[in-house]
Amino acid sequence: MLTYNTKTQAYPAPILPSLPNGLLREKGDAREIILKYGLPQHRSPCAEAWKYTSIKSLAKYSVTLPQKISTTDAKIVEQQLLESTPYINNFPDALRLLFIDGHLHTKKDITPYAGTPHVDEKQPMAALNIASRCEAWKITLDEKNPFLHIISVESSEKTPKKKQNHSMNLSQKRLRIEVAENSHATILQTSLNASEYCWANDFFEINVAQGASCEHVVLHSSAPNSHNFTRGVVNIAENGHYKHVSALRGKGLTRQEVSVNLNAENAACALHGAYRPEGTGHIDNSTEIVHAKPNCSSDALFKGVIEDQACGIFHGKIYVAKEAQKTKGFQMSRALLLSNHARAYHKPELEIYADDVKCSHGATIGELNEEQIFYLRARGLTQKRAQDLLLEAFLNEALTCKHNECQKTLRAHIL
Amino acid sequence: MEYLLKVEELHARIADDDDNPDSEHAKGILRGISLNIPKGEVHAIMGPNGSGKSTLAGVLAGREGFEVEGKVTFDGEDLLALEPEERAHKGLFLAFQYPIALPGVQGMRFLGEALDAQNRARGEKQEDKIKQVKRVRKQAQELGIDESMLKRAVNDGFSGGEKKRNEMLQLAVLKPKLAILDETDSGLDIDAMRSVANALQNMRDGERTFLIITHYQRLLQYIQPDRVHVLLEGRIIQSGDKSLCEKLEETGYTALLKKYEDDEGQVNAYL
Ligand SMILES: Nc1ncnc2c1ncn2[C@@H]1O[C@H](COP(=O)(O)OP(=O)(O)OP(=O)(O)O)[C@@H](O)[C@H]1O
Ligand SMILES: [Mg+2]
Repeated sequence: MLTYNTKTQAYPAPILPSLPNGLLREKGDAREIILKYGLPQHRSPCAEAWKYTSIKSLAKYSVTLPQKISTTDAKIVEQQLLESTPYINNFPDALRLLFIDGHLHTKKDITPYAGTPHVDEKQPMAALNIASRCEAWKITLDEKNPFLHIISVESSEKTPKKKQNHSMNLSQKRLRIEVAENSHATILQTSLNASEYCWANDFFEINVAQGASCEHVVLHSSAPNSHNFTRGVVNIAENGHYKHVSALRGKGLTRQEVSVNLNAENAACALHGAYRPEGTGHIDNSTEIVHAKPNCSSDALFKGVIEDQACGIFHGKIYVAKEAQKTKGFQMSRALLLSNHARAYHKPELEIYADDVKCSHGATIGELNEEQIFYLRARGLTQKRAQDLLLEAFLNEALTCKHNECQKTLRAHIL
Repeated sequence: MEYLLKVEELHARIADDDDNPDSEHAKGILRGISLNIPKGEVHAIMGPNGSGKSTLAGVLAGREGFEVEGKVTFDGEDLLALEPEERAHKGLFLAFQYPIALPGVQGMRFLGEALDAQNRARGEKQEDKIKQVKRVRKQAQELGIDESMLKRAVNDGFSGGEKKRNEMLQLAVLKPKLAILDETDSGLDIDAMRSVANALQNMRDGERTFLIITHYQRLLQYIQPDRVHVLLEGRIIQSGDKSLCEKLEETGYTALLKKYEDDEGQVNAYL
């Protein structure tokens, strides 16, 4: 249910791009949210959560929905993708789902999903996704099928024309992933957004069952003028473990929201990520971890290297419910600014209602250390090599995962 | 005589220190140093705290932040025109007085990067990685450095003495033509001092050249330098053979400076 603040009617008029007819469903909370509040703006209910990421400029576009391309064209797109990113083929044992413009081009072990995930007014992009008629799929990972590779690309053909028209291709999808009891799953998610004027908006729901563990590795790069949103909602059952490791880079705008609910005792999660916005790129990592029950642990670690005029954001919240005693929650965010025009914002938040907890958070923003660079150069490394080595050392900590090939790819993607 | 290093009238002052004309260093930290080191020799520099020893070492290695005047020729080349890494490629090595910690950079990786960078710059072929690791391990062992140190991040959490030994390991591995050791003997225990001295003695093959900055006689007793220079207030005020360091021990630096000033017929406002 929505809780409107009826006393203050102070919410500004919603701003929204012109959406194509038939995009939104006829009813539902999500529809109400997106129509009532529109895109995040000053004084809208999500203003705090979107404080550092302004997407009002999206309103000037008219949104178009890319049609599903033909099987033949899909083959060509896939071929191009393999040529530009050959590592895609390094995971032969994975179940590969190829999405082009939000449309699935693989039909295997996957069923349509009709559910309506919960969303609130702080999540306008998720609301748009859930309010939209778009492809929604459900898949279960278990011993037989432990490794999922989700590939998302945009077919970029018509880009120049769109720019003139001020139109923007919106591609959305919803995925619900069940990780079966006591199984150990890996999800590799690659979204390589190479085309400008694309608006990607995905919603993931991941349920980690009792005693199961799931490693979720995200590789993403964005093109200039592209807008990329994902929201992942993760529910973890007793003794369940979830690790999210992301490597995000690019010149576009990216906001990755990960929201984890530790719903039963001894559940644990780790949210790690490295990010490198370049040019006028903008990368926003927003995480929320809810400790609902006792004896759970969470660990968030984000490291950013920010170049040029780019901007990096970490907004991390830990919520500890009253009954969630013996909670361990750690949160750390570090950013290195490589230019005078680069910017970083951290916003760590702790909201704790239990009294026996160990929680901490820290945030630093710094620059490369000249003394370290000189030391390396005095040993013969060039300025560039010295810098790369220090950046690698800096980011490495946030780039570990158990799956060997994934770890290699993760590092290759961002270092 | 063939000099590997030829320093002529070297001056250095802190860059952008103009706005503070009264500062102690208005006249500069290095105030006209001339120093010639023939190939294969071991020279020592002694001098009180703050006299400019590390500044000299830093300026030679290419440290930024100084306005430098004068001329330095290293192995026939204009050293001051080179970038720090180019100086390393040409065979100059500085063992830092305060080695820098590199969190997240494993010791072995660091040495490998340095070796590869130098080989590449010299147009030599890359060393086989497995051989490289074996060789480095052996050299570490000879210096009494535990193998586990190579797995740790460079100088990160190292004790003072461990850092100095680690500088020695880099020196042994990189085999420079000229090694400048800035107080590498400070903070070493007796055994470490001996192994450092032995290592230096072994490297002293008539080809390799050393400039050793130190406060103590002990290392010099082991090594027996060819020449000793006394650096005071940015100038070399006396040079001599190894007996000079014993003399210093007796008289101290102040007397030496007085005598120098008197000889020069100057009144020194600093004394
Ligand atoms: N970057 C700097 N900024 C300001 N002053 C400096 C800087 N570098 C050196 N100095 C000053 O220059 C003088 C010489 O310093 P240097 O480190 O060369 O001395 P040193 O002879 O190596 O002394 P020690 O025996 O204590 O190591 C000192 O007074 C020092 O404070
Ligand atoms: Mg010094």
